[in-house]
Amino acid sequence: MNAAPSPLEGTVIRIVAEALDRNPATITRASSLIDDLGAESIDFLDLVFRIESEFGIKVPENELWQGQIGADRSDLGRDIAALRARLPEFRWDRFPGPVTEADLPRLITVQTIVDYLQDRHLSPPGGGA
Amino acid sequence: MMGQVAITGAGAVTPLGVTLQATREGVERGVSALDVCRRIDASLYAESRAGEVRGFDARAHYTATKALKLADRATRFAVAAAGMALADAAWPADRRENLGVLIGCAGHDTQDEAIAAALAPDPDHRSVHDVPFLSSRLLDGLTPLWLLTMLPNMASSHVAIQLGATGPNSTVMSDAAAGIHAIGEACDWIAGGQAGAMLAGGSDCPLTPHTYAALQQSGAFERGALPPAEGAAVFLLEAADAARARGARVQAVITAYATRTGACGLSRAIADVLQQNGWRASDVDLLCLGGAGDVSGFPDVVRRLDSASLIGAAGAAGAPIDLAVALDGRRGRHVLCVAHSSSGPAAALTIVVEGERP
Repeated sequence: MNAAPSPLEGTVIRIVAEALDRNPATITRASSLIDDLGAESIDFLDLVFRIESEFGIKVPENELWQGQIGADRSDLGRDIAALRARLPEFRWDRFPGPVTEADLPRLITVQTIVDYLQDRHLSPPGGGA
Repeated sequence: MMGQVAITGAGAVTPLGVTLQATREGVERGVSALDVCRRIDASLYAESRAGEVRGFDARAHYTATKALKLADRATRFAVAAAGMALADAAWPADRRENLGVLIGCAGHDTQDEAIAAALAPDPDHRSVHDVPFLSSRLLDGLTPLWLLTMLPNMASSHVAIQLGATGPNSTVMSDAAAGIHAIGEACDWIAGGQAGAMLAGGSDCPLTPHTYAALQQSGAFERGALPPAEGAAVFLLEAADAARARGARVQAVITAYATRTGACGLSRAIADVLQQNGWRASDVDLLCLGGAGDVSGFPDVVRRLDSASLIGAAGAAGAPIDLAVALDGRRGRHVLCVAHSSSGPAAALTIVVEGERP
């Protein structure tokens, strides 16, 4: 059974649900924005704007989507293994072979956004969703 | 003018109703849909009424509802009307690859609320005189979806995406003539073989502060101009012989189309289509005025249809709405539909309705 989302996670889920016209009850921290929620390129622009507006921040281009893997791709296998350990409920069966660099956008999840905001020491305005 | 092109489907969303049938019933009753504008506060203008579409649920017409965030009202009306036209024509679901889209519109929704929100707060009105400041406020505060939502070609694009119409796609912007221009040019695409069938018509939502301000400044309201209105009418057009071959019900055949501009442009366009048909003015059963006002040279016995008197000036959608209403054949079979833009271009289209609907 999944733990209740934190206030930050709940806020991110609400933002994602609004941007992608989804029922927030169907979204989890492991939901892939592309594979599970149907996000397209324009939606990523939209999401960044909504996050900036919600948290009163500016997000440098592409910084948010580098997420768990980061810009350094020198040891992708190690980074993917670490991500697997942190996010076991992610649908890893979608990748029967090794995850390649081309697959990385599909690894962007709600947790990617939560991690980014936590790294910036941000909490949801007003305490949560 | 062309190989015969048939109208086999029609759909409409208007202030008289969110279906073509409801619109026809509204025209039949002759009850005005004009009311105080709710979309914006129009109380400061000489005309505060509007023809607004009420009770419209865009979600019911979108297969991918996420796209609604990129769709202004004109786009949503176009998608709904086009879907109705496809259904009315019983167009096969597996024949979308050569189905084109050509929707005319007179303007676009600049989303003034979003701009105002991006500029607020601005107590010193700095954004009025400091362009770099204005730019920075828009850059920081305006959603990146703003441009994609206001582009005038979005109506045609969304119709294509939502209905899977992957044939030729374009947009006509010629003010109130754009809807008839779109239908006429779509006929040429079919006759020329560029498209197997076309979804064509007009869609508009001019209920914006810009529109009211422009009409006020030009003195149009003082001269008795109709209030702005929103809506759409879209048709499924296909080669008449192909339509009959697939067993489709041909509602009307488009027999002539012409467009002119400059002095007496509308009169010359009308003369052109009458000549193409070999008709005299008295051969016309029904004159669809599309908000253009009455035209001279037609005997009093020729019936007039101008739904704009009931719904307001619906821009590019006005003339197509009249055309859609006329398809029922109750007012006559030889129909001349005209559209005239104050900015110049005029268009005329004739159809022959194939019998009266049961």
